[in-house]
Amino acid sequence: MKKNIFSYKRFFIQSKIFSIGIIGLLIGILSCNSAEESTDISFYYWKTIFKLSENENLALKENHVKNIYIRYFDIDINPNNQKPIPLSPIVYKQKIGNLRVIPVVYIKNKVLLQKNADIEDLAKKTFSYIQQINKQAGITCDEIQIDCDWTMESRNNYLKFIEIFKAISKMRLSATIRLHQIKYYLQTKIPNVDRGVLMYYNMGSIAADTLNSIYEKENAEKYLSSLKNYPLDLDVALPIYSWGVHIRNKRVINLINKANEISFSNDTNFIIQDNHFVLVKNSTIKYGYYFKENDKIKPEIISFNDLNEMANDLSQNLKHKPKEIIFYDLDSSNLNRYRDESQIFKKIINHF
Amino acid sequence: MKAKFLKRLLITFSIVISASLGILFACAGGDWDWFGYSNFTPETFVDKSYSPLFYSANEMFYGIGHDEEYITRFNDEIKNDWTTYLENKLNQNQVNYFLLNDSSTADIEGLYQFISKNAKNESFNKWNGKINLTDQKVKDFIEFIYFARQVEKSSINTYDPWDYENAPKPPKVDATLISQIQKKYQTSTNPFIKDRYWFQTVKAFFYSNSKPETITFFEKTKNEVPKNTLYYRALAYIAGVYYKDHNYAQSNYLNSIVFDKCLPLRVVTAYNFHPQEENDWKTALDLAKTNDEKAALWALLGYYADPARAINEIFKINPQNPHIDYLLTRLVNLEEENLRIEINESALKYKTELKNKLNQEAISVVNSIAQSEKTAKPYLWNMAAGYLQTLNGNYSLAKSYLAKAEKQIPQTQSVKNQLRLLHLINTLSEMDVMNSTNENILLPELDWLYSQSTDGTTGDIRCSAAIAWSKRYVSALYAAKNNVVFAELFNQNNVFYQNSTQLEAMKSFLLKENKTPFEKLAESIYSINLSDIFEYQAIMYTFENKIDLAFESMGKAGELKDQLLLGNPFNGKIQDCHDCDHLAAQKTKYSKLRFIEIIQIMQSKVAKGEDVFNNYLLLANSFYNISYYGNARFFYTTKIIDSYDKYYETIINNVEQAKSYYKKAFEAATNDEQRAKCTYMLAKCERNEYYTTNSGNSDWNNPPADYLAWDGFVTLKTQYSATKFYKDVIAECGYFKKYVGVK
Repeated sequence: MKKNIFSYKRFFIQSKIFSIGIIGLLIGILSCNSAEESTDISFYYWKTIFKLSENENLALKENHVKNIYIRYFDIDINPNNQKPIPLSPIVYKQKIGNLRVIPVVYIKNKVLLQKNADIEDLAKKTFSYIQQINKQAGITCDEIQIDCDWTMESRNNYLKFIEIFKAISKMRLSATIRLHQIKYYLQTKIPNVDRGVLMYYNMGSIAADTLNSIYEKENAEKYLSSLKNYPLDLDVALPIYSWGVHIRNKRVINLINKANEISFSNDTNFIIQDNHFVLVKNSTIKYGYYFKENDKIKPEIISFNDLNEMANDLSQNLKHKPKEIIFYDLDSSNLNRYRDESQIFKKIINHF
Repeated sequence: MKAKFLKRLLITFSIVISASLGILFACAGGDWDWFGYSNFTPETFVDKSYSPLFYSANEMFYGIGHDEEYITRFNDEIKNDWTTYLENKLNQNQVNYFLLNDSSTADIEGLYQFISKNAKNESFNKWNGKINLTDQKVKDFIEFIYFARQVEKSSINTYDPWDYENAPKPPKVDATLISQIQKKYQTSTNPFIKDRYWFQTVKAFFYSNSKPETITFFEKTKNEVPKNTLYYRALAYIAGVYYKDHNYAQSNYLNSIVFDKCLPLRVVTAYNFHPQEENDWKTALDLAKTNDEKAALWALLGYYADPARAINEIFKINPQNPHIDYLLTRLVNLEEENLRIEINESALKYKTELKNKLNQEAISVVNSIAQSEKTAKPYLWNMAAGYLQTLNGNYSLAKSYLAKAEKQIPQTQSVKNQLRLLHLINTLSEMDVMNSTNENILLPELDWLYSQSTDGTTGDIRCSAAIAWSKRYVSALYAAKNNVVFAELFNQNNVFYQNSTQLEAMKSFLLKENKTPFEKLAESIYSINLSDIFEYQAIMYTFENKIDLAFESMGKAGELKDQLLLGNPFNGKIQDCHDCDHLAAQKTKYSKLRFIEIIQIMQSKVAKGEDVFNNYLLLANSFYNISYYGNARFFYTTKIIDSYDKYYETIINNVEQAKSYYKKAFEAATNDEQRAKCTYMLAKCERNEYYTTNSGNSDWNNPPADYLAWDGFVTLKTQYSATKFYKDVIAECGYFKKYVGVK
């Protein structure tokens, strides 16, 4: 049944030639099934202090968000003793209410690249740390998400981590999956999790040229056809973040989180160029960064059109309809960028 | 595990940021061997207190990576201060024990109880008689450590980083302790003790719930204490309080004072300097009261972001300020990083690229200051200006700067070496052609350079970059003149010997007698000698099955001919397993020469019709084993052959010779056992050919098959299933077993 709906929908999108009667019929079929097959809107929360702004609260309410994926901590290597260490754990400054929290732990690949890594110990400590945070915040959870850009060299440690973590936590597990891990899954293997979340962003290299490293259709297309072959069920994470790529002498020197051309428009030290790049007119300090005369900032943002394009392409290439689309990340400045477009998140999930 | 509160946690990483930064660094051309790109050694010119702040392409702080001295930085100074104060009333070990050994806490508490309340206890019993507990200085010492340890409970805490509940909650210094320490400060009459309680009061406030009062206390009392290390350590705490309060202007201003005056804290203040907005920076500059203070602020900005601008500003304030010299080294090192260009095609093209990429701002700043001769170390500026002019292609101008420097330098070996290196780089860069005049000019300089350590870390100047660069450059000039031998001598390239004319030319050069000094230099830096070349020729002749020539060449390969192969090269096993063959007991070991000689003997035997099957089979095994798939890869392991080079890969992957001999053996076979063996060996060759052909073409989604029904498998199954060898294959080869369907 699910497959039928999906294929009808593809037809709907692709052909765009149909009679009102057929539309009516299709809508009828879609809506009949929407109760059990709808795609939910969810968000990642990626700040170190959990305190929702009015705007963020509103986004959760308006979109009937049930699940929130909260970054709990990163795991890095302690440079002093080369042992894994949790970094910047989340601090709850607000009650979570009725939201279902899925803790997300980001493991830096270098942790798993260590040849002598004690994976069992790491899995135990990771789970215990999540439990400690939950206990203090009065949260119960039934699912945990592991985020790691594992590589061929760290693959075995990662897969082992997932196995052990699953056994210890006895919880539903999900894992973020990068596009290359989908295309080359025979080599990168598939973690033993209940579902994957396809990170549909960060597809290009961060460069001084005009391409957008967050999303470029031509980059994405290299991977889209592989989605159907991927054996694991996938939900999707879509980007709503932005950043500025800080360029000096044609070289990338920094990434400035959440910066776009508007961030510099009221400062006479900067000139907005026709291609939306920001040119530094006079050396100055802003947002904690030093901008030298003639530096450039390339704003990389994701437009509503980009999101539509992504959703459209994905809906045509995913094997199954995703149960939820998780937007990265819930933050007022990200939400504000789309404020002129009403019901944006609903419009995006309607593609699926 | 000890965690240090002062140490800031690293920036939070996110899915987005971290995933992308890997790419960012990759694009930035991160290279662990950064010394490989630098010819300008900052250690030669400026005080070592700047050292962690030298430019490093891959470390947060040059030479130390991360700053790990938060707790121990002042240990030696503290020990020395107290040892002097105590006038040998405690020996050095006792001072160290009480001051720095965590296990002394119980003793200190016990002794403090005795001193303050006259309560005799275990600690008293332990130390009474060893140290004079009635001596005022000893009492001061114990009492001070007692209070300092109380404060330390808040400044140094031991916790498990995986303990979420306890980690973020260090105990705060309570008000009673602060007032006790403050009282000690107020009532102490001995300036040494008073000063130390003053510092402890500042520290106690800093780690209390009354952090803002740190500033109140400091401001009220700062003129009562000397401006020593303790004062600047206290000032660093004040900068921290302002930072916490988002008063970045004050914080950065105070950090700059500490940077200027307290050398051990330079790395800390540089880390903590962080203006958020232009206004923070301007206000900090307004706060700076003296030229030195202004220069220190610019020095930090120069380290933090913009050395060229900072150099200009400091020069206007005071050209003699030492920070300007430090910033110059950073500017030059940054420029070197910016100019990482390889000499790929011609020297001329390389020089044009350098010039185009050079930061003209750096050139202009350094030129004008060098010309002013107003700095404290004019030789440093002239050397830097000369070096940048070399990179800019103005060799005569560079020469005149370096000549000026020569008259000004201090007579230390490292500065002299640095100057000589820059002269050499300029001299060579100026050359567009190699001829005997230029060779004579270069000879003593290159002789000197190539005799330096290439380590890059232990030598007194950085020279590994110049060693590599000069070879590439000289090679490019010879290549432009089609002098392939000298181009190769200065820049070894594994494709050189693939051309037999070149090979013979190199042999002639190496055989030449009465070489000129420059030719001798070129030969001395070349890692390949005649033996290597003869060995190489012998190997290539063997692959071509020109065994007489191979034997003759290997005979001339000196000691290389006697290198022993690791396994028996005449064996042909069902399974290819190098390690097993290398470990297997072997009565006779075969050298490379003997191996070729036996092939020669076997070939003459088959020509005479002697023991034809066995000789063909062994010949086949020999050629199989020297292929990539055999047990004698060591045969072609030489200085010249790069087995990943396509040219050589094609040769060593080729099993045609082996196949041809297996076929001949098959034809000479007299029974099915022998035929079965040859058939299976041919299947192995067929499999190898499949892998050779397919592994390069397959993508990750379509890896080559583990095995196919090779012709040899089919024949073995259909024609030789009755042989013993057939059963042996089933026992040892899982793929064949699968193929024939045996469970």
